[in-house]
Amino acid sequence: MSLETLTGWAEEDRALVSAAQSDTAAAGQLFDKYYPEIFRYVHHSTLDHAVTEDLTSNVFFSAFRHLGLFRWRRIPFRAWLYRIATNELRMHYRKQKRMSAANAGLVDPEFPAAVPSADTVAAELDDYRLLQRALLDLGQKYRTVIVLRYFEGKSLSEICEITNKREGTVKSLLHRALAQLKDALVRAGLTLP
Amino acid sequence: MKSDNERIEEFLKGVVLPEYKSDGHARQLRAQILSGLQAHRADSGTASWWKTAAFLLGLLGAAALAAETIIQVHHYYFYGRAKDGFYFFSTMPENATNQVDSIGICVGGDMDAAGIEQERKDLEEIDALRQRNARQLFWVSDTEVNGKPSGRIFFYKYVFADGRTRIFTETGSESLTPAQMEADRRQIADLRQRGQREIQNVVEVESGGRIQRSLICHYVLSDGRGVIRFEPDPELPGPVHLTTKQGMELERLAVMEKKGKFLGSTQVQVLGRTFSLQKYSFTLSDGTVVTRSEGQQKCDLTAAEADEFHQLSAANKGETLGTYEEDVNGKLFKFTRVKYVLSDGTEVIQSSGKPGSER
Repeated sequence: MSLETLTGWAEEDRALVSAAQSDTAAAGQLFDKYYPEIFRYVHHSTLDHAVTEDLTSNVFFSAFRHLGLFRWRRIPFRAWLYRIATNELRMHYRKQKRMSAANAGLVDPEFPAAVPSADTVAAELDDYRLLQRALLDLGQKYRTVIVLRYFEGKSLSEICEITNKREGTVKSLLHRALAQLKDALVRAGLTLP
Repeated sequence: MKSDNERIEEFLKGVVLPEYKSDGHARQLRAQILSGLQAHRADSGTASWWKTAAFLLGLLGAAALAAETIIQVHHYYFYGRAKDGFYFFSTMPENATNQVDSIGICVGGDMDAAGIEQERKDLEEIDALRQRNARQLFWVSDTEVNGKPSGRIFFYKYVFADGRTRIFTETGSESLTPAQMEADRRQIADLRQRGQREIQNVVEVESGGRIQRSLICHYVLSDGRGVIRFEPDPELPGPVHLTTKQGMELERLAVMEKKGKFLGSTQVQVLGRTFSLQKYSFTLSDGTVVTRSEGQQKCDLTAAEADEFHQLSAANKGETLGTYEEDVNGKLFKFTRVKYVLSDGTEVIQSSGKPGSER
């Protein structure tokens, strides 16, 4: 993604956020722009449809309630939303403590129905399930950076903004997260390429 | 040779991620967010029309005013959309012939006919959930203007039978279970007897040579909630003989559509205080001519003041007065009190509370 595009997005967000504070249509536009990716991020992090809906509601409710605070955070609006979402996830996992292995193996009941039954797709699905199971074995800070980097395609600088950590710290977290994930996947029987 | 991390990265990049989405949830949440924003803005204005409408629709219609409302919601009716964009729903049947205790709800956003019907059904389901207290209180907010509490706002999360969730902000007695309502009634009666109430608005309705004066009173209960009650002025209790339909038409014309003919201002003394009333004349669809006067004392912020307050809040230009913990509906909430001073010297104190141990 080019710097120009990022700047354009930031400018558009700035205008939208500013307008959204007094204009409902702008608020709706802002919501439409970010709902899908925040929902997806939360879903990838929880693999639970009901929890995802709950947490996503909390994220947007909190964000719109504090919309006026956004410009003082000195980060892009998108990163600010992700930060709120990450915090919601942290709170959720703190509450849940540790998900049981049984729960970890369960995927969203809506999910399989949405996927064609071809063998190749089933294999990909297996990889994804295996990965999710392994991710749920990781600590939340490790899971966050993995999901952001590899599921959401965020750059290091974006992850820094979202997690409010320095680049060195994020790199280190990613390194340790990958090592732990590898162990978890191997334990689960995966043969790495 | 690739390192372990390179291999795991390669694996990660090769995993096909399923697309997750929830259109129903998106639509519902969107409507809720936008509705909440509109309600917040409207609530910031002086004497939001719907507060008055909600109470008046429930009380004025049948000519005799009850001392206070009891809310037993079963069925909601849609009454129309006001000029400020809100959709107004009430439990008051249009063809009611007797005094009916009722509740009025205003909802923002854009809805078509199907959306309005869905909203009506949702309100009924919310009411049923509320009666069973099947909801989650997850946020509490208090605001004071010049030392006077504006009332506590409760943020509840409701889960519908079809799995949708909805966040609903509630202020006063509309959020209560029957047992809580009864406790409130007792407390309010006690406060009234001791004169511990603030008269926010005075409304006079004149028809057929009779005048009926009603007071919109604000009570602060022991748990911090601000409760508004519509009460007859014992010095001028009426009654004006209007049918329910006439009363509702009057309120619709006066409060929602603002279609009266301005007749001028008058001043009245109510319990030792001077109120300046704006008097309007209305001609109902059956030809009945009614005058309606209303005036208020300052308690809420004006729209301009509310804007300034929100700007200060957004800029974190408040003074933190401290934190405290309080039990709200059996759950410990941690509140932060922040004071803001507006350019005209008005002091606004906002206290926001989150559950202390869990969210």
